[in-house]
Amino acid sequence: MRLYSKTRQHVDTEKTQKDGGASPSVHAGSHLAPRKSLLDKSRRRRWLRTGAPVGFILPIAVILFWQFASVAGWIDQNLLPAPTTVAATTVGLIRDGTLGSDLLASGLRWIVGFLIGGTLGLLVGSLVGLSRIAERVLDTSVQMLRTIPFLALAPLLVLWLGLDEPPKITLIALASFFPLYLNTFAGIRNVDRKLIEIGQIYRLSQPEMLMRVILPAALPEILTGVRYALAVAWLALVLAELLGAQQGLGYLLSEGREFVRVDIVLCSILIFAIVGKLVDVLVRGLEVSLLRWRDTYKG
Amino acid sequence: MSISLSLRHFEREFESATGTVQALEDVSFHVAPGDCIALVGPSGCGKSTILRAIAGLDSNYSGEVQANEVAVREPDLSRGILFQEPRLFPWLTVNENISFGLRLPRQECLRRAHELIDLVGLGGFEHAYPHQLSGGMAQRVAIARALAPNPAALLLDEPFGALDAFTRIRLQNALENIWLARKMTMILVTHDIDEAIALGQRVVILTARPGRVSRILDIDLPYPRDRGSERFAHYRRELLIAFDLS
Repeated sequence: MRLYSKTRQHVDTEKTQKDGGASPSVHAGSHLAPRKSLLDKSRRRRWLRTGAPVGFILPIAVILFWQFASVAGWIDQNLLPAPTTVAATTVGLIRDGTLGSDLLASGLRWIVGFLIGGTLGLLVGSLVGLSRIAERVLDTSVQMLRTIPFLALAPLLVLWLGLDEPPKITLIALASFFPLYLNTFAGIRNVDRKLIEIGQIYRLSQPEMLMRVILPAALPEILTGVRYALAVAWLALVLAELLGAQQGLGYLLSEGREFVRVDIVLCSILIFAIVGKLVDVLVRGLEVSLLRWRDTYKG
Repeated sequence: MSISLSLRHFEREFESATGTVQALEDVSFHVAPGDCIALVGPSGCGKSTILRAIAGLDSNYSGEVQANEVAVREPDLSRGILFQEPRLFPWLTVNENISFGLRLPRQECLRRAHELIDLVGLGGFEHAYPHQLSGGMAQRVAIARALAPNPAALLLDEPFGALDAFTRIRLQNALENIWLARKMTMILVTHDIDEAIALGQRVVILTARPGRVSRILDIDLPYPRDRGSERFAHYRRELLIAFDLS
């Protein structure tokens, strides 16, 4: 709202400036008449904008139908237990601490893997973005590696690194590396040369240029890379834990499958979905607060 | 504290797909400390190239470019530059843009930014982001930023070319006042004849391809200049004749 009134204010300032510089003044009244229809429209759609949870209508409807179908006996409860059963199992798993420790184990793997892979992606992407020599030396190789589905590397990693943490972390790191590499590289190459020139005029050193001009300018793309990397790392986590783990959400999942406990499988899938969504919301919030200087189409 | 700027036998070639193009040929002129000259010529005659060389952003030329009798090798804060686009950093506020690159204590940066914001008439917009400003206001911020390091010379590359006529005249007047108060050496590249007469003590006229100095016209009018005056019109006619437009 603050932003909107500022924009309105400057339009009027330019209009009322008759000499070198006038102070900003607001004549909102004269603008109201022609904008009436626009305002009406925005009022009509306010319930959509103010974050009413319309996104939950569909999932809730599906769950209600699922419950109804279970109670009515349309669904074999061994293959697809009712939502209430899944909920009860989930509560049980929370109560005995299984879910907590599994979530913690998975979360740690995810974060460590993402931090290693993401940092490397950011560093190598910056290097390749900044130096044409580095681009010629490294980019072809990285692009070739990128085309390998990282899932295909899983057996190899197990053979090389054993069954413990290292192959899992490596797989997650690999998955997070490429999105950050690609987006950092592209982000740096998209920086407006005219802004770099301003930096040159101020005689910024190379590190200053990087920190004060290039990285801030590339930040929107880098953050897109972060979001994408977190999502792919989350996928890699499931696979890594299915390879054989003693703890973690993937372990819970495979355990549920082995004992034909569909309710446990569903519960872990549910947790995967919730955590993935929560983290995405968090990163999106970070994006909004870091990029509020942008003037982009908001739909 | 202003400096002299001079070009001697300045030549610049550009490589293009069809071969080498001679953009500028044997350009020489001298600007005394505190003087303001306008560089006028048809588009593509290399006006901006000259300015970029003086700013230290381009060194692929032959001949000499000097600031205060010393050869220019790289950019320096003593020579401020203003481009046609404001070139503000979109992630910095007006305040932060103006004090960008000032290697001074924070308090001093703020004080200077505040003073310059007043000078260019943008009070109340200290914390606005560039996308919240109109074109004219953004260019005011760019002027303030160029003035922030207290440059001894100001290089202006068609600074008002992208603005509407009213805003342009307003900003020309603002610049005139700033120059009269601070007396930094100025070179104003423009294709606007009125702008050249309104601000320049001399007008250097360039020909197109290759760019060469065809004439230097002294504008003998007192400041602040009256655009409606008889003598202003006389100089306008002179320049139009020089460009074969009259």
